[in-house]
Amino acid sequence: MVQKDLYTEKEIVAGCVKHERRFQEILYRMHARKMYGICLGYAGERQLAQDMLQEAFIKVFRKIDQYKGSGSLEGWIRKIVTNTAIDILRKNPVAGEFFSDDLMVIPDSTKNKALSDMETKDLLAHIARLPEGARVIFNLYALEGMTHQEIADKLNISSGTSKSQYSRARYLLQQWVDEPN
Amino acid sequence: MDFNNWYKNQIESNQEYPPDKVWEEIHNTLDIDLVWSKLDKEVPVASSQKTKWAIAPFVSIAATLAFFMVTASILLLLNFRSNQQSTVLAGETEIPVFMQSIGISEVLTRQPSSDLALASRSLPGSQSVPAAMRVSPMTSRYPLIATLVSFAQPVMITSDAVQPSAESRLYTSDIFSDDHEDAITPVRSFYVGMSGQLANTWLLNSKTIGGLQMYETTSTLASYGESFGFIAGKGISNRIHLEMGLDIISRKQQRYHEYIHGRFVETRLNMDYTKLSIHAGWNISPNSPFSLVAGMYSAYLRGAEFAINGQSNDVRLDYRRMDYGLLVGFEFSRPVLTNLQMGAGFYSHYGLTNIFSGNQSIPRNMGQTQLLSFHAGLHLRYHLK
Repeated sequence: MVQKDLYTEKEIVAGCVKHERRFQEILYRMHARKMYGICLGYAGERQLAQDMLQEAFIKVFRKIDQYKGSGSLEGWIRKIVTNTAIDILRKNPVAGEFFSDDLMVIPDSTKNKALSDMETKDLLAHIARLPEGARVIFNLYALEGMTHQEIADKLNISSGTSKSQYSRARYLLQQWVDEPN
Repeated sequence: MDFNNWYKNQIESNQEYPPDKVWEEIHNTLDIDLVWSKLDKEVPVASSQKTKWAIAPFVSIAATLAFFMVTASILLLLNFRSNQQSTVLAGETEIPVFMQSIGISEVLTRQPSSDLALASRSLPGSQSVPAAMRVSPMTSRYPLIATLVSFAQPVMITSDAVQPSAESRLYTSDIFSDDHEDAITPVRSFYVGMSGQLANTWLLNSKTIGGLQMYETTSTLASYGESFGFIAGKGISNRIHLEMGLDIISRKQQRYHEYIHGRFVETRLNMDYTKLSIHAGWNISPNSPFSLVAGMYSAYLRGAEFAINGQSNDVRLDYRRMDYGLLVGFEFSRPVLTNLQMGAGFYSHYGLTNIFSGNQSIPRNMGQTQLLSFHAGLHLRYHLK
């Protein structure tokens, strides 16, 4: 087991820039779980999430010399993970799948229900039911805090599409979460 | 709690750790990255050195040939100087020292000088050759040429009064016969001796040949191996002799400069053979010290090792026990003492069989390997009475 607490973030980054394997592993162990959760949110299933995580961290280590220390390292890694996840979904034949327009528009719910902790596998099951395009939009909005205009620019769609897809995804996900087992 | 915040919290507080195979895959990919980055840095350097390595094997062949030429020239020069210093005059004729060394001077000096004559060749149907061979201004200026000329012009020693003694017959067996060309060479006698050779050796396979290409990261390096053994032979006619050789030590080697596990290393395959050969020698002209040889060999592999940066592994089982092939060459040989001849030679040995027997990684037919070597060597032959 690597001793990640022995080193500062700066030392770890410096070690990664020198391609020193132990520092690369420390960096990976520090962020793997959280970034894996994000990948699960985009992928909806474990195998694809693992592929996303692997690809993302390879990019992290290849580009680590571009990290200049402005902003948090986690934020920098997270950006790479998110972009990698979206890139991988774009390569997927069913990527870009959205809710069809004939579905009823769901207004954004403002009511706060009592939401309890949920096991990963149950949440994954619900996320997997969302169309991939809608899932990406929901994650970008809910996880990354992006605006609909930013999402529209990133995914090359209209902001209206982003809004409607997000609303439908959120509504359905909330319904499914609230449903008793 | 807002659903979005709840969702974000659920995702980011994920307690599930990715399986270890993810890190292993990342690790493997980064290893490959390291190799490529090293290649990017080192291949341009290697390419610049490649020119040097690529010509090295050819230079080594030239060096082997040059070694033979130098050795032969030294022997010729020594022979010529001895000729100048130890001449036996019969009238105005000078007798080269090699004739003395094989007993002719003894024959000459035992006889009354009046009985001796270096006569013009007056064989039926042949042209006359001036009897007296003098050191002309030209030959003194160009000693090597002079020596070659003296070798190329056989001297006839005749005497009406003198009958050849048993001793003189041993070395000049055909002096009084119709074929006078071998008057000074101890032909048809049985001889034994020893030989030592330095060989520029090649394992002819795809790796070696590929290593000569400019774009390959593997470079084939000049490789040498030594041989030492014993010889025995007999002249079977005035210009042809048969010789057998047993090389107790016959080393073959092939060296490479290879890119392995991210760095350049020197690798080398050493093979120790015991070799039995038989060849025929054919003098290019009567009494010439030069002869062409051709024959065949069979070799037994005693051991083989593959070394990477000095660390060696036994690979004898990867190679076949027996090899056989053809040999051709060019020899120079002259008497240096009574009964003793010394010479130099340049030979090429070419293996006819695939010596690779295959291993767990490469099947036999995929690792086709033949031996090729260029030898420069010295030999001593002692003629038995």
